[in-house]
Amino acid sequence: MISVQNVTKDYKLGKTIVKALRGVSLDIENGEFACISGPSGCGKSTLLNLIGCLDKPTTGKVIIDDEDVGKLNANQLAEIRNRKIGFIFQSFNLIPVLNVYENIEMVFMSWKDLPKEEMNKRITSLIEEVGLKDYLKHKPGELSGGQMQRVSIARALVTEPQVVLADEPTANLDSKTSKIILEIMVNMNNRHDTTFIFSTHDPIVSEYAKREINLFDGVIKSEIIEDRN
Amino acid sequence: MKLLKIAIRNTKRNVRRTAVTIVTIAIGVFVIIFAGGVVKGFQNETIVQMIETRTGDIQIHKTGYRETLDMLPLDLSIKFNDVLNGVSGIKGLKEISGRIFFSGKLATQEESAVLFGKAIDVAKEIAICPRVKDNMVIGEFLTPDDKNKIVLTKDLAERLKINIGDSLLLFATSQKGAINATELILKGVFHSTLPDSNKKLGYIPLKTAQELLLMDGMVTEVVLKKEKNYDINKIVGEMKNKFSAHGFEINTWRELEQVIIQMVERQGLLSIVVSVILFIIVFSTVMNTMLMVVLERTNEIGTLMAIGFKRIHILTLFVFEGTLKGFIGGTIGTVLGVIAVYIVNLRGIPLCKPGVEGVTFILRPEIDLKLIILALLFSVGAAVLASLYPANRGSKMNPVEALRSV
Repeated sequence: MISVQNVTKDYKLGKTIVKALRGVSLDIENGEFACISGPSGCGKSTLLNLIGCLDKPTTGKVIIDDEDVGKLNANQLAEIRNRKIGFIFQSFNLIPVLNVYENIEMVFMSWKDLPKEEMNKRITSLIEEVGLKDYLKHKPGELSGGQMQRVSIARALVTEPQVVLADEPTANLDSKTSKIILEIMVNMNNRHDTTFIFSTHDPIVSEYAKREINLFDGVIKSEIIEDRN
Repeated sequence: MKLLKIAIRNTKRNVRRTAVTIVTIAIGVFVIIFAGGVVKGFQNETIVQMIETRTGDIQIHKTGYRETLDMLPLDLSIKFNDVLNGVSGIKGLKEISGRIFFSGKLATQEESAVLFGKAIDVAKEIAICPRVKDNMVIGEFLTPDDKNKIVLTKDLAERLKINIGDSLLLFATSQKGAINATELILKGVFHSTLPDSNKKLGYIPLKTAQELLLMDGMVTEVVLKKEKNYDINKIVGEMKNKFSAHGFEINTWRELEQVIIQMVERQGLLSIVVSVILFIIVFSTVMNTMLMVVLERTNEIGTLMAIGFKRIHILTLFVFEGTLKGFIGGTIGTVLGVIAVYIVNLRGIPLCKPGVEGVTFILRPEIDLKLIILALLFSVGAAVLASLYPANRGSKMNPVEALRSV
């Protein structure tokens, strides 16, 4: 479903060119629960950004559903991000002026084809699934870090995307909350068969993944595929 | 609609900054409406002053009289009753009166001076031009029963060194060339608001002038006042149909005083200059605010882009926010401006006429509907334009870089 083919990514920092990715290739199948691990600066976020259509590779291809996303314009990329990809951020990235319900509803900004009742059903059922039924009208400022990350998970899943990308989703959470969040993600993966790709440099977190892609210095150093069932 | 909701909530995020922006816009719009109201009040006062002191609403002259007005020709005179009969069927006329303009010489035992004489039917003249008697300095203006009385400008009275109740001789050449004289008593002294005629003007009763100038039943100018709700152009049109073929010229006050009208219209430019300056202030305030807003919310823009917001959504969101501030500020400014104009209109601003001591007039600013609409459009328009650049900048951000910003 997602194919990363010999991708490189260079960044310009003043006169210096930083090679964030130096030729990465990998295929991710539907329903996978994969983790990209590695130390800081190894290219985890860059790889997630490329898979998430937030950025384009310097060379190589990122193929999503047989479509080379490198050839798409800004609006087409936005459309793919909106329909096929869900994002979970390290800092939760909720809109402070919107409440829990509205933060999730906002994703449907340009959905003209979904009836309002269906939209409402999807939002409320996901809010229930992440355990925030009593917090519908709460603004992000009134929530704990763990609760905000649950809203973020619900927001990422509400469009029923093919893949959810989570960039260090537990980095700002304590170990207990991290465990809860990871378990929610695992449950969602099992229940909705949604592909999850998350990055982490924490070995405890990476243990949850069924497949671990270890990056080092912009290249895949090793790959572990486990069947924890 | 969702974007508008977010924009409305966003305006409440930094209350102090939003308040400063809204207050700046409100002050701008307030100043435009108030300054515009004062200018309009001044323009109206100038025109009403002109109509109610000199021109009346409509004037009738013998064809060619106005071109030779400087010579004050008496031969281009009109039989007043002919005009009176002629206008009798025309609806919307309230009052009609005759005037004679003539030149003469005033003399006391020691002094003499040239007179620019204006002979009036006092009762009717006051009905048509009620302000004619407003600028008295000493004594009183003419009354309908007066005969052989004169009212002079302050300059003329000083030059002739005469006081109220003193007598003086008026010499004038009649229509047929004979030099006649009559004895007059000074009844009052006034200030003339017109600098040119200020030194030479004097009013005498029409009957006195007609006897002096041997012009029984004749006048050189007919002045008319219309009923308030009647269209002046319609009346003039009807009058032209009746009179033009008989060698008469009919003019409205607007045609008679084109120089003053142009001057008044030029005062309107002041409103435009004020508006342009304030437009620049509002524009730069909103742009500055919105640039700060976009900068502060860079990470949020990145998030919105990541979840699938298109450039047009981001652009619209910030334009809505700026426009909202413009609209709120504009509405507050308009409401306060209208209230201020209304209150000052009721109270009036007492002002001195230039060069005249002690004589004041009340300036009443007027609510100008056109200006209100313009000010509202201007505040919203300035806000939209000023938001476009920051909004466009926000919408063109690279999502990855935007997300990286803290």
